[in-house]
Amino acid sequence: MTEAVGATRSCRACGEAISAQARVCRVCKSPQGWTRLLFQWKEVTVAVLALVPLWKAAGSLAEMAHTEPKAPVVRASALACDSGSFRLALTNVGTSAGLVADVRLAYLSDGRRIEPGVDLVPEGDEPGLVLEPGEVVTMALAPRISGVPTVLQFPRGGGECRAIALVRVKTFEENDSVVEAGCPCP
Amino acid sequence: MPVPMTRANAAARRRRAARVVAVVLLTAAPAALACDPAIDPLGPRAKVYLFDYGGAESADARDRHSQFQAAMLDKAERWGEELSRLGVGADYLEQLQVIKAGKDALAGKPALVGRYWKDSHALQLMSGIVDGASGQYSVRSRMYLGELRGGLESSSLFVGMPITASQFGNVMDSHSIVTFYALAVDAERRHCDRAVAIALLNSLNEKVSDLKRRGGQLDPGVELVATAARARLDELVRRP
Repeated sequence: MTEAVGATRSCRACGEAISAQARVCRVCKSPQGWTRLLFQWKEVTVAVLALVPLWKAAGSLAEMAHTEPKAPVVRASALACDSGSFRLALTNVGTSAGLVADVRLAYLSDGRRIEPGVDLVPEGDEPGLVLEPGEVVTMALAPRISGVPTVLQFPRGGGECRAIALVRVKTFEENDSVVEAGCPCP
Repeated sequence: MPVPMTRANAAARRRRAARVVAVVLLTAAPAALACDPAIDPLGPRAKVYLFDYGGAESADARDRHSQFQAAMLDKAERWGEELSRLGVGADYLEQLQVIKAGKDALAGKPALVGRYWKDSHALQLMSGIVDGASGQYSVRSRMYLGELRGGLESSSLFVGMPITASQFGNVMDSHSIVTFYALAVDAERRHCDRAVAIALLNSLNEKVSDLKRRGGQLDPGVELVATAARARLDELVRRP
């Protein structure tokens, strides 16, 4: 019994003799239970914990660097062409809205491209068209020269001939791109 | 006994010679009638754009204007028949037409007139006024030929005539003369066989003769075209 009360052991940190029941060393104040491990490895623990926000920040930066910027991707298809009108279907498969600024006419005749200076204007003369992502619209376009109505004259070469609508798409950052859609000359 | 040479029989001889040359060329070499497609892939300029004439404010003036426009549209169909008889090629017949172009949005914009003519691939642009101030209605047409003016000094021709029942045929023929002239210049521009231009100019000359026979005096605008057409026809017929 007496032996048990007066039993000692060495401090795990400084090696001084301390009571076998002591939870903290009377000399160096080091904890003697499992919590001592926390203090023993505190620098490593702090370092590991500090890496978490750094890792997160690095991940965010990498994401920003590699993510495509939001942009409209407009696709067009010509549904019908004749001398008095041109019908187009347009869709935006991109990630932001696009503005259909204007549409011009071109012909492809026997491999030769001809741009006769004719605008294709939405019937009703509505200026421009905003295409939201995922939106699909059809447009009836009428030929105009400086706003004055005209009729289309298709090439007469006898070979392959296509009438092409050149659709100029603008982003709100003022970037332009041109999408083409054509159909065989009537 | 030799016949004395007068201006009248000189003109008749010229017409006969042109007719003979045209017939010979058209029948002997039909394959050569093809024009050079590389010159203009859009083919012949064969559309006449007819804009609304100004001055047609009163109901009566509007009626006259409508009659005039209807007669022009009707005339275009007859041009097709005439061209068919001349045998100048099928591409004209399919395409030659008068297009009602509505309000004259080109009025007072000379730069736009040239651009419109070029980009619309028009044969000619017609605009003008209906004048009823003197109690008798007349039209004054401006016929813009762009680069098809050939030997004319200006691309714009003015043709004015009364639009009475008796004069309607003359009005239409006066306008046809200008159109046939433009077609002939266009045929030369596209390097068609010269038989095409000869046939068109010869037909034009016959219309001038008919007009003179019926009305006596030609409109100054038509006279300018007739003179340029005669000069060009002589050159083409004499060319070996």
